[in-house]
Order: sequence, then C-alpha cells, then structure tokens
Amino acid sequence: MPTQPEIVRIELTPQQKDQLKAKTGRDAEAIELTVTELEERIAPGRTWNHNDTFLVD
Amino acid sequence: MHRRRGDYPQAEQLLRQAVVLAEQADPLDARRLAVALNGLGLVCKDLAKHNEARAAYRRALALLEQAPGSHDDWIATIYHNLGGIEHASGNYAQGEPLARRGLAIRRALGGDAEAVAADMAALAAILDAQQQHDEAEQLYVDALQVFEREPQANAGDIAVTLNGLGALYAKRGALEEAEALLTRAVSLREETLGPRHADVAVTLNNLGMVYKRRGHYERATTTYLAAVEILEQTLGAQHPKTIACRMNYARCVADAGAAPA
Repeated sequence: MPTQPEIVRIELTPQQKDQLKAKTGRDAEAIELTVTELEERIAPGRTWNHNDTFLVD
Repeated sequence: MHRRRGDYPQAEQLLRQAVVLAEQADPLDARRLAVALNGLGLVCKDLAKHNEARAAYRRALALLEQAPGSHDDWIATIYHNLGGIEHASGNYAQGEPLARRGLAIRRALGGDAEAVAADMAALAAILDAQQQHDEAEQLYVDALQVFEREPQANAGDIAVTLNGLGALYAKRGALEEAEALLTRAVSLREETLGPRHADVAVTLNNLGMVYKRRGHYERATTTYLAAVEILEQTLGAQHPKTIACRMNYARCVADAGAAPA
C-alpha cells in the first residue's frame, strides 16, 4: 500500500522568520518539504549540462 | 559537490549509489529516480562516458513521461542534457532537435528565465558547431543578458556563455573580442571553481588558440600547457579533451618554431 511521502520539517531562525515576513507578509515557524523536494533543493550546482565549446586547431 | 570540485570519479560513485537507493524505494518515486539518473548522466558526460550518460537520460525521460502529474520542468532539462550528449559526441544534427525541444517545453512553462537562458546557450553551442553562427550569437547574447541580471548567482552560466561566444568570435576571426570574452570567462571560472578545474582548462585551451592566431606564440604555448596539465590531472591523460588540447599545444609549439622571430 502506498505510504505518505516522508516530510522534513525545517525550523526557521528568528532572522529567517523576519526575512519571510518582509518578503511575503506571512508568519511562519518552519517550512516542510518532502524528501524529494529537499533533495532537489540541496542538489549542488545546476541540473542541466553546459555545452562548452572546445576549439581544436 | 564532488562534481563541482572536479572530483568526477567520486561524484560518479555517489550518484550510482543515489540511483540504487532511489530504485529500492517502496513505493518507487519516479521523479526522485529520474533526478538521480540525471545527476549520473551529468557526471558520465564529464567523464566522456557518453553512452552511459545517454542511457541514464533516456531512462529518466521515460520515467518522467510515464509518471502521474506534470514533470515538464525536468523533462525540459532531460532534453537539454540529451542535446548536450550529442554535442559532446560531435553529433550536432542529432542534438539540435533535442535542444530545441527542451527550450520549447521550458518556454511553454514560463517563469524560470534563467533556465530558459541556459537552454538558449546550450542550443547556441550546437548551432555554432554547425556553422549557424548568426542564430547562435543571438542566443548567446540574449542568454547572457538574462544571466547578468544576477551575476553572482549565475556565475557558472555566465562563464559558459562567455566561453561559447568567445569561441564563436574566434572562429569568425574577431580575435580581440574573443580574447576579451575568454579572459573574463577564465577569471570567472577560476574564482568560482578554483584554478585547477577542468572547466577552467577548456577556456584556457580556447584562449590559447586565440593567442596563437594573434601571433602571441609564447603566451599561447604557456596557456595551452597550463590547460593540458589541468586536464591530465582532472580528466586523465586519455580523455578526448586532454588529447585534443595536447594536440593543440604540440601544433602551437611546432608553429612557433616555424614562425619568424
């Protein structure tokens, strides 16, 4: 039977709460992400490749 | 992180583990597995394992196209990367429709201007390789304009676009403009990736060619040699880029000897 996606809760620091309030006007204590969303956000670098041109003489 | 540092074998090992973990998840999360496969494809491309990269991307695409929900953001990225594999393999005509499809899907999504710009720069490289210089130049210039809005966040994309546009100008014989763009790309890559990264060497190789064409043989040989050393250290002596760069260096040394003092 399919299970609910695992949720990761990240508590915000006071500074982050202020930033969120300033940018969105909303109050929040924490953000919640699924494991997949978290992995996508912490993945280092871009997810696309670069077609670097390499000159050959 | 390992890939960004240029530690490609370590990155490959970790990404293979990520794929296995995603495959074992119950229930299977198709998007998560596709993301892991995309990561593996990226590092396999860096290591010139083009068939493995292509297979990873194709599998990711099939997963995303069959998964419930909308995954067009990732589907656009996979098409972008499939085009990139054909670019790296020298199959430019095969890469063009893939890159164009990725760009079309991303544009239809709206929103992420930087991702659209990255698709444009990737397509530009494929067009440039097919001598379609005018469209390629326009795409590079437009993409650069988008990336430059947030230069710190987009340093990597700015560097690759400068490298591509500089190489395009070099082919056209606009050597002064090419040198300025490539010099900036080298600085940017050294700042963001460190001086011993393979991407730095790619641009040094191109800059070496521009120096040579401008008749600056001593500077050209030094620049080529620096590129060869970095490529040998990061990608290995048998990697196609290392071999090509060594050939460029050898030709430059030979031509420098033949050039009038």
